[in-house]
Amino acid sequence: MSERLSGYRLDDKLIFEKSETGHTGYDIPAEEIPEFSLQDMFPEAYIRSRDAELPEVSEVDVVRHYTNLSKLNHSVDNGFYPLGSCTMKYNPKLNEAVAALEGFQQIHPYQPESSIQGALALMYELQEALKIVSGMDAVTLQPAAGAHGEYTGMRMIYAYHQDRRDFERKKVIVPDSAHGTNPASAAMCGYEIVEIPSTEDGRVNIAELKKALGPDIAAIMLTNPNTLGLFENEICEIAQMAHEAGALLYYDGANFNAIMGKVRPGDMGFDVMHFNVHKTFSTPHGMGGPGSGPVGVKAVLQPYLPVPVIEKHPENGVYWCNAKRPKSIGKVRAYFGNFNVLIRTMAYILSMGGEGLKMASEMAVLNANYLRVQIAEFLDVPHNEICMHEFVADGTRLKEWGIKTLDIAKGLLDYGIHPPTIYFPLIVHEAVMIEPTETETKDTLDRFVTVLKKLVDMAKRSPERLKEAPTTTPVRRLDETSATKNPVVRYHKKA
Amino acid sequence: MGYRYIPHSEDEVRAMLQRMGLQKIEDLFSDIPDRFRLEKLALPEGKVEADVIRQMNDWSKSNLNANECAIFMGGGIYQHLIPSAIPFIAERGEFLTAYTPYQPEVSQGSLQVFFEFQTMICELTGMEVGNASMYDGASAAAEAMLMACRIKRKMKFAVSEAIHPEYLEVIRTVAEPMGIEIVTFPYNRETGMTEPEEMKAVVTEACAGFLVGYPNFFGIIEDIQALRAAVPDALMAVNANPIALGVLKAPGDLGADIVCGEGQPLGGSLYLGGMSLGLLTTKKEYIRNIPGRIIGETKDIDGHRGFVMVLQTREQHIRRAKATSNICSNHAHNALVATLYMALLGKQGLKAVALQSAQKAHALHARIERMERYRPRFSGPFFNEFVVESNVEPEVLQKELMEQYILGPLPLKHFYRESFYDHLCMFAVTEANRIEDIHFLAARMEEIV
Repeated sequence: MSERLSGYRLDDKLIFEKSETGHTGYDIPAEEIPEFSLQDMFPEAYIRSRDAELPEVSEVDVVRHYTNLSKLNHSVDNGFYPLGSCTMKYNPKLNEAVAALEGFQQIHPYQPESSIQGALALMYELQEALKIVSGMDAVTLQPAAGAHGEYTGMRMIYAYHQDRRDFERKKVIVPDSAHGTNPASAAMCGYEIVEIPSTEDGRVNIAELKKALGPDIAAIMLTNPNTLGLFENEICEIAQMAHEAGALLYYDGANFNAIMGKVRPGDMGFDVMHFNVHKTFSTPHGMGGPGSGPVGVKAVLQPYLPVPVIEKHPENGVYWCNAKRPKSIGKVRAYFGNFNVLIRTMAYILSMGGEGLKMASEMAVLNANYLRVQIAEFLDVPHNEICMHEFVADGTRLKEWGIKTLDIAKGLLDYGIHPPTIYFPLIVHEAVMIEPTETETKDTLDRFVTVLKKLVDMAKRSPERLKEAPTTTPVRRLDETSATKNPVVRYHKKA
Repeated sequence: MGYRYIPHSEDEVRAMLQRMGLQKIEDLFSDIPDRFRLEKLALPEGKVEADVIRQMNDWSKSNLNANECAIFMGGGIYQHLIPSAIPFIAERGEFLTAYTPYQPEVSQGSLQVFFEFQTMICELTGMEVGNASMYDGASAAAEAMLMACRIKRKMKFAVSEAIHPEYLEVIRTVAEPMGIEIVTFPYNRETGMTEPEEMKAVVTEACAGFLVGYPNFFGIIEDIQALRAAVPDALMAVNANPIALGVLKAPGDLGADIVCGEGQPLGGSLYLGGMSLGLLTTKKEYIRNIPGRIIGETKDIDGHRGFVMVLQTREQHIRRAKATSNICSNHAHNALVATLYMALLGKQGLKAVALQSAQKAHALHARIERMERYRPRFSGPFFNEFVVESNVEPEVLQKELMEQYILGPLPLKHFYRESFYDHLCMFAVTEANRIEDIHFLAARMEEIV
């Protein structure tokens, strides 16, 4: 073992570098059927002659290798994770326990409906619950992620205009503060993007919006509260303007954790929205997925929902999959959606209930404002007014000491705190986007403020030291530029 | 306050409000216009853990699960044996509750897992570069189609009619608003294989490329080398079953330009098809055209090896509307499961699983060949799944077998309107099917009238 490894680390090898011929970590029943040899079953030209170079390692080696790798990660389970726009709330263990139930885990998507009534019931009830929380008329659970939900929503908007033979609507309006997925999802539906600038106070610029609206606009995509954490209080006017111009209004549900039980997108005039259940409804982020991005729509878009839609027979209470919907956009993925994530979502909604969800949003907003008020005392907060579940600080002034937002972020790592989102939204230059979520205690927030203040002080007093950070992590700052210039994206066995 | 996931005491809430000079929680929501303000959500009250478990148990138990049965159903999702070590490692909170590795210094666990995953999938598919996974096999196939059109700057793409019908539906959904024309080419209804000449007639010069299954939806091993040779200028995208690649030649060695597939068979549970991950690999020259997250090796400032996300300028958070795809995540945790599976099985294990799956499928196939009322429909070579023509109405067969705790076969009428499929059904077999279960299934099939 190399001495230079920091922390309590097993080694720094890849699993392939631990491979020894003859080691195995599996067994299967001794039920080979020698009368069917490879040559009997397959044409010679299709029999693999060069083995895939998978590692040969024993079970204990695999367990140790990956247990040790896991220890190199920061996660919600081992510390504060105030990553703005990502809603890194605590992921209840109950959700994991129920998602592992055999009756959920071991069912095949093509089993007859009569044999999966429990699964269909769960999905139906989840659709109903999401309708209530959002004020929408119908919900599909198929999309696999938030961006996939955005795509599905925009794809339905496309189908709606096509169906009305309104072929001139080729553009979608997106504010400059939007998540990158918004323009990307609209572009995947063939739309051209019209970006409108925000006002000084960080909200949608109504005058600019009015100018951009016209018979060529298919939709407006909004996040409310927006990515600065500010509630778009003129939403009523925006919705009216959009609808008068024949456009539909899309709600990006990324920030839904701010408003549950307080206000509903459906009531505000939105026609379609996606939910990020891995944010709002506590399902684990799993290092980047799987999440799930259900989409809610108003009646006007209901005919276009992807198939199948889970329905309940009004008389006999039997659940079934309606796949015969002539105007449907079709399928956006195979089967039913990320069912294992949907189970966890339902467990959370059942646990919290209506009042609990409302409390979650209230405490998320309370935590964010509690941080904002204190952080604004030593770091610029460009829109320093009551925010929703998150807010954006700006580290531009630290440039005076040669310190960038990135340096502050790296400094936090040495205190066991995951940095906030940095350099987003794009409209704040040295943005630090902070979202504590409701599951953090006052003590955790207080410690965060103390550490952040210490780092800002360090930026002014000993900037060189801060630029060295992090020093206590398993690796230090990494060379991302040459990694992209000459990408090495796989291991090759040494000859 | 009584919500177990919200840690605030009333005193703390008061103190926090006071710190910001506010009186009550409602003061934080004053931006919401009065007319929209909600009093109450019409949802039931929250439940204690015990009651959530009870409700979930009720739902769970009213499903017939594959552990109570013998399962011979596939169609893209397969039950293989899953080593016990996998769920224990995968459920570790450090993996489960981490997010996208935006801060690589504290994400080396995730990043190294993805780097190992990319390596393993490249090895299996015989390709040079791959991403850290997509949503599922169907969306990966659609991304392969978009990728081919991007590379060739052409707006037409051809798909085999023997591809998974749901994949074809997803491809059509994605292609339509992009103005990409999807054309399909038939398969030979005796062999179940694509005829190079018939394909060539469809894959004209206007086509960016074509997609075939390996094996295809009906379990048949397509002669992809011959298809490659028939249209040398089009990009060949191959949708592969990763388990089959334990014994079948890698698509990359047979001329594939892009390989996609569903990764669930690599250690994933059935979960109604929901524990999916899309596989996507390609040649090095196309690395900038591949969508999704890619992990690369690098060094830190002290010279230690480390891993980071690379080529992020392809992605939505930088390129916005001009990104290669809107995808913002990967099915990372399912990719971890697949990595654990491939590490545990290793070079020999994956071969053994593939071999035994194929052998058991061939044993059932041979048995069905001797039956009076059932006959295999296609004559081409197959891996672990095959189509049977049944004198017994397939849905009746399925229902009768289910009463004997057998799940399967899959009636193809479910997917196709054409009468050709009315009496066809499909059996899938893996190493998880014990030989006695195969005998049991065969005996029951012969009893049903």
